Amino acid sequence: MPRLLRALAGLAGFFLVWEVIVQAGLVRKEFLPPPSVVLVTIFEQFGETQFIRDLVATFLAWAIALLIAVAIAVPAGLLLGSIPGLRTATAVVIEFLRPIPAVALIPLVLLLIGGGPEAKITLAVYASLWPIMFNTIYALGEIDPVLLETAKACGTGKFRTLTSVALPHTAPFVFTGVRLSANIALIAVVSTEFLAGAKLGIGNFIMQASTGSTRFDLVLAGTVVVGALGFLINGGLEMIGRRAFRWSTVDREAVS
Amino acid sequence: MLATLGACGALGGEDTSKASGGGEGGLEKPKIKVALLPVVDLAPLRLAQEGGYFKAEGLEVEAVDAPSGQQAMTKMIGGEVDIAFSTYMPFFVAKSKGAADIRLVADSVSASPKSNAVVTVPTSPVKTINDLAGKKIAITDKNTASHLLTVSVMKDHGVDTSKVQWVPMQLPNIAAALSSGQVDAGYLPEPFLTQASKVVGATPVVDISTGATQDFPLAGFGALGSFVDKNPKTLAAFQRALAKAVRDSADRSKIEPMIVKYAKVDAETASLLTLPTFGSTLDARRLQRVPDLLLQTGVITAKLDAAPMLAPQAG
Repeated sequence: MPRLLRALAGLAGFFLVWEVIVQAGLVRKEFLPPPSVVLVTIFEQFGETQFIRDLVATFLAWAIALLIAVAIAVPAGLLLGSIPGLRTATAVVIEFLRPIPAVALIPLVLLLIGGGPEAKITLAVYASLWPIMFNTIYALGEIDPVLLETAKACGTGKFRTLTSVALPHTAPFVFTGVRLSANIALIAVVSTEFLAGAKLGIGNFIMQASTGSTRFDLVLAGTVVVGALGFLINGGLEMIGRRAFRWSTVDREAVS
Repeated sequence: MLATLGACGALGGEDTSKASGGGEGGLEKPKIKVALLPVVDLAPLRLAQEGGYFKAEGLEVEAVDAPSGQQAMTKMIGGEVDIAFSTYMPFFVAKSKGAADIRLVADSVSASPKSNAVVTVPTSPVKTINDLAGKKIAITDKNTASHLLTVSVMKDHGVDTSKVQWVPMQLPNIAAALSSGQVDAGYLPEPFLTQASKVVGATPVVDISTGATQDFPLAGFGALGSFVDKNPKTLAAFQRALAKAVRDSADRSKIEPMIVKYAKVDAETASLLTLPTFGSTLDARRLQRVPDLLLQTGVITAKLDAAPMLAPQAG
């Protein structure tokens, strides 16, 4: 808990600096409303069903995207990590695809699968695949060879070795990948909503508030809520990671 | 799998529980999707939605938000929506380039006096329209209504537009840019006009609704030719509901709440701002002014006839 308090103290400090800058008149209140205004706006928005629906839509899209990303990236990482030939064969394609920012694919995705929730989920899956996959691949390389030799000596099959020896040992690494991807997926979901427009979503809320009028308090309210969502997601995953991988000493720093 | 996930209502996907069947009132497509922007111009459409005007015609209109008219049109060409709201310029440019068979289905707004203006602030070197030559002028983007109307008004007054530095900027940011001296003048429609005057003391240099651009047709609804041909009754229902909402929009007390709710304008500004002229029925001769201006400013290179682009108008 003291960790959480320290983290929140940092946030409070950030809000304080922001408040002081605005109150001192360095920036006009109308263009950059201070946190005292924005927090009230956020509070008000939580009473609006539309805002709640936006928040739920973003959260659901994020959760679905992350689950799909895990379902694709972990098996892919295990395969690529255990079959060197396959890894060599796909390396160029992966290195070609990986640096493409998800938002740059928005026009293509809109054209191919339309602009519904599928678009933001697809883009978020795309963006969040890589950290999970690479962490899985690298983790496989880090396994104590003695373990693999033992499994081999006991006559364990290749698939069995992968799922019951390799996977548990790579789990903390994989989970770190998931945690990194969680934020990337959130960024991809919100950016797609913001840039392409959607029926629902926090990104859509921010887009509407930022193009429709000069209610900058609404824009910032949406922005702060996205930040808070990211903070909660990361905090939640960290907690899960600490509980689930208490036994792991290899990856203590990465997980905690 | 994604398609089924997308169908989930909470995600903001399609509501599959009300599958479109034969339709009430014999409409070919009783449920249509329309790409909309958070702008004052759409207040009548929002009124038609909230007041059940579309429903009375047996039509369900689902709103899909877009960040700009250009994007709304892209959504329409991509098949995500049936009808798109935009300023007229992108529609005509797309048609001229052969990018899509655009038909215009309903009018939305025209410039009314004091609803669109090129503004300046007291600290700016720009005092009169003649000072605009060679200055930095904020517009939403090149070749948009804000750019071309400013050019047209400047030419009307014999002001040289060749050395102007056009600064593309989002409308909500223009007041701040004016007050910090980043730009010398800017094109603002309502509600930004009222807000900028309140916040940074912006004053009009020239009203857009004067001279060649008086009552200029600003924005409307477009659809693809294939949709227009296949759904005449649906379109007529859409036009009738919109026309009724436009008639009712004369009552400001009905329109203001829509502006506050959908254009995200604060209630005080909503009560002060000058409304554009709302319309719904298109007139080819009047609309011809838009492609003519595009031709005159060199955005399109061949004369474009507006009349064949008009979908049949419900009386």
